[in-house]
Amino acid sequence: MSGAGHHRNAELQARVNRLLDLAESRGVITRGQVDARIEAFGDRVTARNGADMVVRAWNSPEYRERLLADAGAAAAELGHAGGGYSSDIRLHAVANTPTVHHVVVCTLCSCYPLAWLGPPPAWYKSEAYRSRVVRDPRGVLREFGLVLPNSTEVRVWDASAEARYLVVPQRPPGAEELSEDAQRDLVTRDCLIGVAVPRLPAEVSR
Amino acid sequence: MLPGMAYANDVGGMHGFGELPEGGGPTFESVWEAQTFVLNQAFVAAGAYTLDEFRATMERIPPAEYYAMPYYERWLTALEHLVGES
Repeated sequence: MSGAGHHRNAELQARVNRLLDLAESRGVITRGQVDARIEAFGDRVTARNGADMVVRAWNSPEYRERLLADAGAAAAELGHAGGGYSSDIRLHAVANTPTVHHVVVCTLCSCYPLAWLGPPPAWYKSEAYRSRVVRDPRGVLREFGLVLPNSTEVRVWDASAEARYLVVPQRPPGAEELSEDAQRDLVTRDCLIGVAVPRLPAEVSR
Repeated sequence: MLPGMAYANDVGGMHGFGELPEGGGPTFESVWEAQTFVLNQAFVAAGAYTLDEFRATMERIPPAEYYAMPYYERWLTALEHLVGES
């Protein structure tokens, strides 16, 4: 980080420190509790909640049906209760098919299924992604390395305060041979947002 | 806010925001960002303000300032305002 950037960061940290003190003195949250929550946000751990739901849907048509009908309830079934900010937030699962690909954005801010996936990645919050994926989704997906045939319809879901979306990708052919644990490893955070699709490692797909 | 003036946050379809940041980047680049994120959750959970109030406060940051701020500084600025620290 540059000297100026470093200074700026220190200034922002000082502002946050004042709020941390204020929060503690008002009995809102202690510093220790803040640290513990941050520790719980390991990207991989939290995106695994969504992967868990997807893999269950891959292996159980009944679960898949429940997931697509009421994703919040289907998440809770696996112990991934929502919560966090508000019980008004509803989770919707949208499933890719051979002819339809889904991708999620929040054009107004950064609404994201964070209760189920953890905090969003930096690019999801960027003006570049939010402005462009609704106008040129194929172009944006290509930049993520996902090239879709023209025959595939792309649907972009704009998340809001009340509605959050989770993409259910298709299971890649051959993955049914893998254990559920190994299948879960294929379902990355980016697959759940719709900017990637699960890929079999070369040694498995051969 | 003047009538007809767009809120700075409403960027869907707009041109000119440049390249996407690196795909694999971290969720939080600095500790203060993660702390801001958690503090906001905690204040909302404690009933200090609602998530809609938070969002509306952030969206009222004047556009020139809004775009000049890193993402979580917008959060921090709104948070300070809502808890009476600005």
